[in-house]
Amino acid sequence: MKRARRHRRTVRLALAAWLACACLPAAAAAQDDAPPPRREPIPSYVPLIEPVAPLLFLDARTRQFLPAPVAELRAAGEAAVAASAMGAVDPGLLDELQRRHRVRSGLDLGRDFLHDVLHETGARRVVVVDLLFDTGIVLAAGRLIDAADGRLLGAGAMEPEAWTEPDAWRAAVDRVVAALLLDVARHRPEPGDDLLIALPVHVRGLERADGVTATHTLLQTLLDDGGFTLPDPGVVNHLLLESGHDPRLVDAAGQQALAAALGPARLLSADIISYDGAAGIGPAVDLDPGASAAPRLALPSFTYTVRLTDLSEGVILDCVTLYQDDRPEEGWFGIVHSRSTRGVLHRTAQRLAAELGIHTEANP
Amino acid sequence: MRTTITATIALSLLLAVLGGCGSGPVSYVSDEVDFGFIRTVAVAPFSNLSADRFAAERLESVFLAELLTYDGLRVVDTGEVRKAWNDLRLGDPDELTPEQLKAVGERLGVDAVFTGAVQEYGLERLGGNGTYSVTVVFGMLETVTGSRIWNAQVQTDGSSFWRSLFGGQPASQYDVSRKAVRQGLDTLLSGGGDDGGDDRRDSSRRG
Repeated sequence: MKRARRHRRTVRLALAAWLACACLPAAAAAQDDAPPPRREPIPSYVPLIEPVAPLLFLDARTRQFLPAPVAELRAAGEAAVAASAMGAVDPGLLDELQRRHRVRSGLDLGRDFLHDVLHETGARRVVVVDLLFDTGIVLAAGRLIDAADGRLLGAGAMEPEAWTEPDAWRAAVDRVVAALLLDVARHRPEPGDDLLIALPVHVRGLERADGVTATHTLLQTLLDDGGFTLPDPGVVNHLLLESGHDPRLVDAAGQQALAAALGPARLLSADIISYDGAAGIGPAVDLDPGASAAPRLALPSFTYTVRLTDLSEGVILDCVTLYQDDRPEEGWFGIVHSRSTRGVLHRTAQRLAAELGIHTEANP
Repeated sequence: MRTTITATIALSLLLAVLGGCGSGPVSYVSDEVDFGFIRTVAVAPFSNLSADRFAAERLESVFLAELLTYDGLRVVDTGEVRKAWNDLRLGDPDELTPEQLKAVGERLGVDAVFTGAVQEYGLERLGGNGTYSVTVVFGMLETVTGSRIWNAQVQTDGSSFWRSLFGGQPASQYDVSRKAVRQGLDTLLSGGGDDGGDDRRDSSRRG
């Protein structure tokens, strides 16, 4: 009995020694092969060192939410953009071009305008920055566009920057613009030949700022996915308006106009509908969308639907709906994900892009 | 032995009664139409008779996503359908004349039009607990003859025997909406369709 026990102990010891011998070199090798501790990738600033044309657009829920006169806000915003975009071209020249082409919104950029920007200012890139003000917060969203062909090169939306002191809005604008331009200009995968026209996200029962964030996070997702050539939504909007079509309701004629101007493509339309019980009950028309002075803290439950339409036939190729409730998202080991508007919309867009049959056989 | 049999029968009866608590859809499928010829369809804007102003859009969005999970149907893009509705100055899809339906068919190049009318939509109080409830009528109109070839009225809610027994998260409004849409579409595309098979592929997800 004793002998058998001793034998078992010996076997166990031998096994443990063998395991230690086998595993230690493997662990050491794994440690050698393991990538260095994760660091934030060093962003590429190349597009913003080259001559770049910054276009700044300001917005607020209502005028009362602007922390200063518009001219002052514009000057601060332009200064913040110029501080980050080292190759910014002469603002006077750009202003004159904006007036000539009547560019009043970041979603209305004609190819004639981009052509003139390229040839009259020498800027090869256009960076569109939208600043949306609310009570004590500013939200920034932006896009980087190739002035030669209206192709989208970068897109991003930032978490809102808040301030409490009356004059602290300047610092908030500086911070949010600097962070946005870093994100917009960072290196992305090479675009492919597959042309995908993404329309701005249409929101129902949410705030306009949510729509802007959703549009930019969806564009960012598609760009990060790689393999697509995305015309800038501002260029697409202008093409539709120019040919007499409603950009919010792209019918067959509008689809044909896009196909004629941009070539054979697929159209990506996205809608977000709020499932907030209180949002749906009320007058049919928003009497005063800015009536509530307090900004909403978190997104309500919503569905996010994306449709992929074949422009040549006008039929829906695929449609995916995701429901996102307003409960905290819990991951492994009790990790609670951020419930920020941008975080939720970005993650939902990423999941939708993965679910949707967006990749073709030629572009897997 | 006898007690076991009695208990089994009582339990079966109880489960059958509890299972049958929810009313199923009331549907009609025309037996004069060969559904195999219906290839291209449009989904008309849903009408809303409920107090929730987004009810029609929510149900329409869910309906479209669920409809596209069935293979074999070509669905015209929503933008073109809405534009046609505006251009032809059409109102409630359930009140269209045969001439108007024919015009829709020619304009959109579709064989049939799906319709939907949301009758009830919202939170319903059952005792101390609230549950979401949806009542919706779906229809399908043939554009050549202008006749109604499918109709389904669905009333469903988020109540569940197991949930009331053991507790847990109540079904969301989206889950109830999707359940109503699936129940309605199943009366046409799974049970009453010409192929009889369930061609659905799941592409609607919960985040």
